[in-house]
Amino acid sequence: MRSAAPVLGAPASTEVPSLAEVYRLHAPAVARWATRLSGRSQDTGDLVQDVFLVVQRRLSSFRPGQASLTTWLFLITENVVRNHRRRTRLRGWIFGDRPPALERADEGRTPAEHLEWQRDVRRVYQVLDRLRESDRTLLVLFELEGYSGQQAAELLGLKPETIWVRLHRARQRFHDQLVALEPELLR
Amino acid sequence: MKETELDSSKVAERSRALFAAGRAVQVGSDRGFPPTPPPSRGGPRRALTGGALGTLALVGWLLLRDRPVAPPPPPTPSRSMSAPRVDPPPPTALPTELPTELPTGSLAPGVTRRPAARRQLADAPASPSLPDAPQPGTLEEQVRLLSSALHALRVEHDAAKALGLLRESDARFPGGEFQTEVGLATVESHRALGDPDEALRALERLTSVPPARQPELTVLRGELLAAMKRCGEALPLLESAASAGGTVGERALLGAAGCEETRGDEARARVWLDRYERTYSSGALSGQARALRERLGGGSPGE
Repeated sequence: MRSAAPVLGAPASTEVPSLAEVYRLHAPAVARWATRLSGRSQDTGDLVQDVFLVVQRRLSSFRPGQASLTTWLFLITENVVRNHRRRTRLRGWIFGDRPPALERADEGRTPAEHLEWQRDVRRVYQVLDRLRESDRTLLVLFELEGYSGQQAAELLGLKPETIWVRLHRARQRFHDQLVALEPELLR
Repeated sequence: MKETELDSSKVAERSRALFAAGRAVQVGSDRGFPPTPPPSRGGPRRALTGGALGTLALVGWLLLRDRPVAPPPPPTPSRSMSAPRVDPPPPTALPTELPTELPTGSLAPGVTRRPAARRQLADAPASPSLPDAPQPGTLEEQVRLLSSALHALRVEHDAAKALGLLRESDARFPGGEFQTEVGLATVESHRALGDPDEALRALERLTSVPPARQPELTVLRGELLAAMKRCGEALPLLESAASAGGTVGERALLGAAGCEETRGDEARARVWLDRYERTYSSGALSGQARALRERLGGGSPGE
C-alpha cells in the first residue's frame, strides 16, 4: 500500500520532456490556474496559448533537477496572467470596466441567483486584486482552486509550515480589504 | 465585545461566501481543455494585438499619468519567466519566518489596521476587525504540531508518532486553523499504518473540507474501500474521480485498474490500465502501473 498520497504528480525525471508531452499532461492544469488567477474564464484559451508559447521558447533551458516541471509551469502561468491583468486593467481605464463573462460550473440556478453569484465573484477578485501578488496567488490556490497546504507548498517551492503561516496572514489581509470595500460588515 | 465578535463572524462568513462563489467559476479542464495544441510563435494576429496593446499602453499612460489610479501591483519576487527557479526556502523556525509587512491598500474609516505579524504573534491582542484570529501563541503551536506530524509521517516514516501529534493537535485545537489538514494527515497516517478501516472513519469525520477538494476525497475514499476489498463500492467513486484529471485522475484510473484485478476481472483491469497509460505515460504512479501490467500479462497498448 502506498504510504502517502502523491501530490501534484510531476514526473521525477531528469530528462527534458517534449513540448507535446508537456502540453498533453499539463495543459488542463495550466488552464485551471490561468482561469483562477485571472478570474476571467473567457480569456483562458489566450492565456494558455501565451503560456505554451513561453514554454516553447524556454523548454530547452528547463533543468529538471532544479525545479519540478509543475512549479516551472506555474511560475510561467503566474507571470503570463500577471501581465495579462495589467493589460486588462489598462483597457479598463481607457474603455471603461468590462465585467468578465463568467460561466458557472453547476447549473440549476435562477437568474437572480446567477446575478448575485456574478457579483460575488467580481467582489472576490476585486478584493484579491487589492492584495500583494503573493497573498493573491496563495488564496487563489488554496481557497479557490482547493489545493492543500502541501500541494501549494510544492507548487510554490516553499515549506508547508511557511505556507500555512502565509495563508493565515493572507486571509487576515483579505478580511481587511473586504471590510474596506464593505464597511457595513462592521456595522 | 459581543458586537465585535458578531462583526468578525460577519466578515468571516462573507469571506467564505465569496470564496465559495469564486470556486464555482467554470475553469479550463471543466470544459474539456485542451482545445488545440500550441501554435508556432508569432503570427499576424499576435503582432497586431501586441502593437495595438503597445499603443493603448502609451495612450493610457499619457492620459492617466496624473490621475489617481488603482494601486499598482507591489514589487514582485525575483522569480522570472526567463529563468524559472524555486525561491530559496525561508528559515524554518517560527516566528522568525513570519512576514512583517503591513497590508497594502487603505482601510475603511473606523477599521483598525492589523499590527505587524511578528508583533501580533508576540504579544498583541487580536484586532477587533479581524475575524477568526487565534490567540497569540496558538498559531505557532498549531503549525508546529502539524509540521512535526507531517515530518514524522513523510520523512521519518513513523506514522504512529504522526498520529500521536495529530491527536494532540485535535485535542488542543478543536476547530483550529488547519483542521482540514490535520484531518487529512490523520487519514494518511492510519493508511500508512495499514488500517484502512480507521482511515475511512477518519475521512468520514472530516466536515469542513472545501468543495474544491471533494474530488481528492472521493478518490481517497475509493482507494480506502479498494484496500478493504470493497471494490463494489470503490469502483463508482474511482470512476467518477477518473475524469478529474491531474493527480486525482491518475490515482483514480490506477485504483480502478487495481480494483478490477482484485475482483478477478483482468479484461476490465486492462481497459483501465490502457486508459491510464494513454493519459499518464510518465506520471508519478507509472511505476505501479507497469508492475500491474506485468501482473496482468499482455503488452502495453502501444506494443
